Amino acid sequence: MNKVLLALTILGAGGGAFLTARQSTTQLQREADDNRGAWLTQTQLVAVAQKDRAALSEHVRQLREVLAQAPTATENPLWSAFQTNRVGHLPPELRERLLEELGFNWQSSEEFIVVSKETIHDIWMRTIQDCKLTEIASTVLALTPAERSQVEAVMQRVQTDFNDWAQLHTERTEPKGDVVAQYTLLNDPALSVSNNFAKGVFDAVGKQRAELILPDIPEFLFVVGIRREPLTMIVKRSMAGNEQRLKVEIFEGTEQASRYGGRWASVSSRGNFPPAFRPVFPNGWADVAEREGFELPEEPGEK
Amino acid sequence: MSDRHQDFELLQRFTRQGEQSAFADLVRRHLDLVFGTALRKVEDLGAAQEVAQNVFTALARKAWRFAPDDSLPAWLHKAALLESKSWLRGELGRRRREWTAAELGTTMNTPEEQPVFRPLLPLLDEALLSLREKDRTALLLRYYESQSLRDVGAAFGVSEDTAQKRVQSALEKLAGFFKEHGFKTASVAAAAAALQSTATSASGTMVSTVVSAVLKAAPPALTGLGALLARMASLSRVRTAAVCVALAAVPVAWQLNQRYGSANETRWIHAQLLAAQNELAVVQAEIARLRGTSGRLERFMAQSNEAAALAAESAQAFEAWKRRIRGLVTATDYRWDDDSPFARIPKAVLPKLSELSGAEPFSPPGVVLPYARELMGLTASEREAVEEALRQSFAEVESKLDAGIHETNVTSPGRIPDTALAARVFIVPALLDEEAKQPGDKMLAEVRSIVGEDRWPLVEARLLEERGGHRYSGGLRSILSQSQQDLAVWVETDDKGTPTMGYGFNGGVATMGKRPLFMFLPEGSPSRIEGAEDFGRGFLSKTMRQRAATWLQEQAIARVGKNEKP
Repeated sequence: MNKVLLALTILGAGGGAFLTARQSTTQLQREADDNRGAWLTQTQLVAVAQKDRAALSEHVRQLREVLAQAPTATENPLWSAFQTNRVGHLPPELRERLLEELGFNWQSSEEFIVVSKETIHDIWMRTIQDCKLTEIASTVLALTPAERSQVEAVMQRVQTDFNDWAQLHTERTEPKGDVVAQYTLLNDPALSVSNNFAKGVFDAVGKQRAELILPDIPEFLFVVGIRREPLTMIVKRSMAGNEQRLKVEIFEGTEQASRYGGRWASVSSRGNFPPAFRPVFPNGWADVAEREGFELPEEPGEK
Repeated sequence: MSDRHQDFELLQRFTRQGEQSAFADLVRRHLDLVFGTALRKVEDLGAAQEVAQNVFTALARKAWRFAPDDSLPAWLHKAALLESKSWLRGELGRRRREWTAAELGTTMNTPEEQPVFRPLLPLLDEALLSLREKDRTALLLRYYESQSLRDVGAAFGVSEDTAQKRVQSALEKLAGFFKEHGFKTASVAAAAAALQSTATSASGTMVSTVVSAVLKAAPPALTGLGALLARMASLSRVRTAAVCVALAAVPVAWQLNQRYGSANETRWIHAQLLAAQNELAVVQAEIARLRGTSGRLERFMAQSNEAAALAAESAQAFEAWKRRIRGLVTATDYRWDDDSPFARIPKAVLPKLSELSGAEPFSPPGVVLPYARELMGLTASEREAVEEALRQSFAEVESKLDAGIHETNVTSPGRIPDTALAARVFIVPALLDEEAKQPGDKMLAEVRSIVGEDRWPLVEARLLEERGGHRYSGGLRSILSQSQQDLAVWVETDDKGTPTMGYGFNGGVATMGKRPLFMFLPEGSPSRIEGAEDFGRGFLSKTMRQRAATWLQEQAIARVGKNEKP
């Protein structure tokens, strides 16, 4: 009986082990089947991905080829540089390259030379001389006859306006001591005359050419007689031995004006008369002498 | 051969080969034991013979189940007891028991006539069953089969003495059983006596009868599966276990092998799956990278196309602009155009324009100024040639001027401030006519040959005598100047006590305001101030600048803080 039990036990254990192993085997086979299915799916996915990769690689290769063959299209640097600079403010090198690009040089024309507007500015040419526009300025700035007339009319009007203004604003001081005459031309605090002149030039020729003319305006205004400060003319009598002399002192504000012959300029019938006082004394010292009742000294040549 | 093995051999011969003589020998060997045991229980000869016959019949049926180690006497004794009980449970048995009880009751009324072991007899078989199989077998062989101690020892494979000790030990255990069951006086001798008294010998006739009856009811010899089972049943436990293990191991091993194969296959497929997944990941990463590259390249392409379109548009615009500008400046009725960066000047007015110009065309150390380059329409090579001629001429004049430079402390009154702590005057004497004229003429000749006769008037106009109100700080005329130059420099302090410097050039024509003296300290000095580079630039010769700067540096070092090491 014990043997039977022993045999049954062993066979039972064996059966159990068999069943366990079989179950495990079945499970492993099921797992293998699952993995095989997944493997197949993955393999198909890999195949699809490899196909995509090949297509993409080809696409990238073609793009690179096209890009390599495509010429480098960039904006003309000269044009680009010109676009970023305002006319009238171009750097010298850019101006010269543009002229070269345009084909302008000394040889390009028998008649004329083409230059940048910066060059015209840098020449510092005299545009106004003797209260008139210079011929050279009219030519270089290509002023039309109408424009030139308009500018000259403005200049004429400035002189007329100043004459009117000076006659109203010249003050006389009663002579005293060795002072035989003293007149003061008041200044124009609003600078209305000079401002009107600048505006008139702007209106006539435009901003660019007006800016080329304007550097000579102060000189023109000076010649006309327009000052920023009140201008005072003092005529004094002095003795050189037995000879009586008249000297004039000119002050701009409180400063002595050096442009009228130094500290003491001789008064003579011929000249050295401050133009600012011309509107009041058109004949210069003669009118002053007549007005104040003194005699002008004789010029050396008059004797 | 021991009794045990002899029994097994006989059983084998009977079951496998159907040898009836072998079974008869078995009956003969153990009938006394079986019959005696049955007789003790059933107390009837006929019934005992019937029980013995049933026991041996059962043996014949179950003979195949015996193993060599099994004790046949022990099995027979137990079977006899069971069979006896079965018989006693039968109706006939009950009747006989009642009769026997009546007879025994009569007998028990006279206890003095009974031997000492007599009370033990009802419990004898129960006592035997309580013993271990070996002890029981030893007693059964010794007393019920009347074997000698030597034979008993042989049956167990031990010596006679050992057999005696085992028998003695078994008797002691038997006596102990009796004592435990209330027979305090039970001894080994009493137990032996009880055994001896219950031993019975069956007659030879009974042997024949039993054998004959058993063999009639006995199954035929086993063949096929029966024989196999019989063979298996006849195996020892160890062998049975080994066979069973072998039987069980084969399918288990096969299944394990299957499992191993499946596991290997699963692993391999899993590895393949992982490899495929990895490959997929790699390919997908590559695809992502390629998509990025493709996107980038497409953007580049779009940008390139856009740039190309812009460039084409720009080129068109540039060409249109050039056409327009050319048209404007070359028009017969040329007008000033505010939108054009260029204007045209008639060549006829250029000499006059140059004459009236307030600007110099050249500057040291040999530069043609931009306006002059345009006005003369110089090409790059012409410009280079003119500038080279200028450089050589200027350098020659400069070296002659520098050769004569000298220093002095003597100066005209009022030239240097009274507050000056130190002063120095550097003087460049005027060049002799020939010294100045020679390089100037050479340079002008070279320039004339380069620009040609049609442009020469533009240069020549700049050689005219100085006009009223204009002064030239540099350029052609100043370089060709023969006049003496002098530079006065001095050191003083400002209101805060800080050292300053001042200078006057050519008798005070160019006098600058106070400037910090420490700008002339050597580079790396903590107190150094920037600005020394601009000192005298544009109107002082290089040598004069260096001489003055060196003197000013000495002054600065001498006046810088004592703790500072410039």
